[in-house]
Amino acid sequence: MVGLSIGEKHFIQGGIAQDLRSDGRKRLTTRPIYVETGVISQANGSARVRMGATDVIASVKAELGRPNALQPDKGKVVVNVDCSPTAAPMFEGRGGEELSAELSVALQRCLLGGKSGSGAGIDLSSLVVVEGKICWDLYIDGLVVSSDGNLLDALGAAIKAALSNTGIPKVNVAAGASGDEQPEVDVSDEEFLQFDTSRVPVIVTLTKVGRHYIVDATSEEESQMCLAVSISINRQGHICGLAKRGGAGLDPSIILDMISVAKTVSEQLINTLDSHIAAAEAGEEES
Amino acid sequence: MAGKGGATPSTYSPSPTTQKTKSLSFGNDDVLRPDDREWHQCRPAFFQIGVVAAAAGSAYADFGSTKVIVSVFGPRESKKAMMYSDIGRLNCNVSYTTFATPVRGQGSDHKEFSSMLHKALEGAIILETFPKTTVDVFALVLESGGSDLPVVISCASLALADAGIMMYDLVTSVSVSFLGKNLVLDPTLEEESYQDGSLILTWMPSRNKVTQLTITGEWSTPKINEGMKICMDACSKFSQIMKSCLKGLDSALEEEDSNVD
Amino acid sequence: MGKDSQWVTPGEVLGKASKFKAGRGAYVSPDNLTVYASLTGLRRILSPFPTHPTSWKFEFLRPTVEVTGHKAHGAIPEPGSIVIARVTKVMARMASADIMCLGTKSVREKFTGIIRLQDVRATEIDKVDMHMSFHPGDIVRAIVLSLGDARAYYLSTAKNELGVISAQSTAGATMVPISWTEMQCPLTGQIEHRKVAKVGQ
Repeated sequence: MVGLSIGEKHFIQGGIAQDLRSDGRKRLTTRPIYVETGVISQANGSARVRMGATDVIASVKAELGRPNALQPDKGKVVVNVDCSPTAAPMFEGRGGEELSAELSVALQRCLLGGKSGSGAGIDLSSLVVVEGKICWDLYIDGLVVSSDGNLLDALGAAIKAALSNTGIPKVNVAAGASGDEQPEVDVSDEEFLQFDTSRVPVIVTLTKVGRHYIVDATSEEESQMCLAVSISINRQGHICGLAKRGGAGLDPSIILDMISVAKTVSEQLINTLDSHIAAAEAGEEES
Repeated sequence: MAGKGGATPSTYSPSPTTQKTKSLSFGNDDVLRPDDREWHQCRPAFFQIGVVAAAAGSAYADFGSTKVIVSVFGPRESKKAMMYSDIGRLNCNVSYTTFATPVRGQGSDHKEFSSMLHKALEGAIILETFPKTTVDVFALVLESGGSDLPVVISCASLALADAGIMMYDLVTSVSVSFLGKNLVLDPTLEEESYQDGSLILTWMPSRNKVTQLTITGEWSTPKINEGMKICMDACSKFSQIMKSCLKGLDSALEEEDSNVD
Repeated sequence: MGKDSQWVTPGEVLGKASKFKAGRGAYVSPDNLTVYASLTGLRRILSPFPTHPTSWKFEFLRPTVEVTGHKAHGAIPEPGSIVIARVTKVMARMASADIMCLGTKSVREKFTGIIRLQDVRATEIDKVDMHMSFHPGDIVRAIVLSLGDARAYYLSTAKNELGVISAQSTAGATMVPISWTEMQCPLTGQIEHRKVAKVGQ
C-alpha cells in the first residue's frame, strides 16, 4: 500500500482533473511499453512486458494430455498468475493469493470467452491432436516481477506476446491404434507450429479517479481510485469480457462511454503491441 | 422442462444458421424456451425474509429451480488477526450444497462467487455506520438452476435489509445469456451451458448505479447496450417484488407479465 | 400518499435535501441532493425544534425525516457510550472485559473491551493496582473511550459513577459496597478491594 499524504493525494486527483498526471501523461496516454520474447528457454513461449515500473513475465507451456470427456474436441487452457512477495510486500500471504486469484479469473475469462467457446482468444479445438484421446494442455503462467499498477493490462499484453512466441511441437500419431487404446505419439523436436494469436484480445483498464477516468494507472493513482473497469477487446473491436473492481456505483451511461473510450485506446494498444512483438521476435531470431 | 430437454442441444447450437426470428427458429409453435418463457421473460421470483431465526437477518429466494438462502450476522467484532479500520468490513461467503448441482458436488465454498458477491454488495452498504466491526454474509445455494450468482446477490441484499444494515439502496442483479443471436434473460442452467456469452448486471434501482458488471464472451457495443437495458428493466421489476417482501406484503407476485421485449 | 407509502425500504426517496434533513435511517446523496432511506421501516417527519437557540439558521428550520420501526442491526459500541461489561481477565497493566450492555440495550454479539491501568480512576493514577480494582467476574459500568485497536475497545472507569457495580466475594455472595475502594462480603465479613462505582443519585 502506498502511503500518501493528503497533499500528495490532492496533487494526484487535481492533476487527473486537469488532464496532466504526475508523470506528465494525459488521462488517456499509456506508459511506454517494452516487450521481450523468448525470455524463458524452458517454456514453449514466453514474454516479458514492462510498462513503467510494472514488470511481468508470462510463460506458455504445452503438455500432452487427455481432453475432457464432456468436450472431446477441445484442448485445455489453464491460466495462473503468481504475485510473488518479491514484487511488493503486500503480496505476502492472503493479500497476494486474493489478487492472484482475481487476476487469473479475469485473464481466463478474457482468453476463453463464453462457455460454448465463442469469442475465445484461443481456439481450443486447434489444440486437439486426436479427438477424444490426445490434446494439448496449455499452461499459461503469469508472474508479477515488479508492481506499479495496471497489472491486468500488463499481464494481458504479456500473455498475448508469449502466445505469439509459442511454438507447439508437431505431433506424429502412430497409426494402428484403435478402440480404447491410447495411440502412440511422436513429438517432434524440430518442427513447431506457430500459434494463431490474431484473436487474442488486449485488456484496457479504465480507472476512475474523482470524476474522470484514466488508462494505465500507476499504483499511486490506483490507491486513489473509486472504481476500475477492465475491458478486453479484440482486433475486430468486439468486447470479449468486462469486469469491474471497486465498490462505488456507476451510472449505466458512463459504462457505455467507458467502453467506447476503451475501444479507441485498445486500437492503439494492439498496434503498438503488434509492432513491439514483431520487433522482439525479429530481435530474438537475429541473436 | 424435461419433456423438451432432449431437443434442446440442437435448438441452442450457436451455428449461424440459427433463427432470424423467434417463430422461424422453432417452426411449429410459440414455445421459445424449455420452460415456455419468452426471450426476455424472467422466471417466477419468490422472496421471503426472516427465514433463519438465529441470524440477524436472512432471506430465501427462489427463481424457478434456483433456490438460495442467505444469512447475515453482525455487525460483530472483527477477527483478531485483522487490522484496525475506521469503517466496517463485509465478509461474504457463497457455498453450494452437495446436492445443488446435477453432478454431486463437493459442497465447498465458491471462492469466485464469494468475491463477486462482495464486490456487488460493498458499494451499496454504508460501511461507515459500523466502524471496526464485520458483517458476515453467508449464502448457500440449495439448488442450482442457472443464474445462481444474480439470485444470490439479490437475496443477500434482501437479507442485509432484513438485518437492518444501513444501505444506500437495495441491490438487484440479473444476467442475460447470448444464445446464437438472441439475448436470453435469466437463463436456466441448461441455457447457460449453451451460452456464447453472458452479462451479469448488478444495479441499485433507485440510485441508478451499476455496482457490478461482468461480461464474458464476444459482444458488440450495441448488444451490450441492449443487454444492460433488458437487465435494468428486469432489475427494477425484481426490486418491486423485494420491496413488497420487505414491507410484508404478498411477496409471491409472479412475474407473469415481465416481458420487456 | 396511500397507507403503505409510510413504509419505506432502503433506497426509497424520502424527499429533497432542501426540504428535509436526514435523520436516523436516512442519508443525503451528494449527487442529486435527495434524501433516501437506508433502512426498512416507518417514515417519520420530526418538526424542527422551535426553541432551539440557533433556530434562526436555515439549517434548523427544516424538518428531519427519519426511518424507524423495523429492527435495526444490533447495537455496536461507539466512543462516549456507557457500557456494562463483565471482567474476564485482570493483568498487571490492564483488565479485559466483555461488553454485555450498551446503554440500556444488550448487545447481540460479543465485543471485547480493555480497561488500561491509566483509565481506572481519575486521581492518583500512578498508585492504581489493577488487582485491587477488579477481579474476574465483576460487573463494571464503563464509558467507551475510543474504538481502540484491532483487538478491543478502550474502556474507562475514571469517574465516580463508573466502576464495579456488582461483585461476588470468594465465598460466593454478592458483596456490599462500603467505600470508594472497598466491598464487604455479607457472609464472612471479609473486605475486598475494588474500584467501586457510585450507584444511584
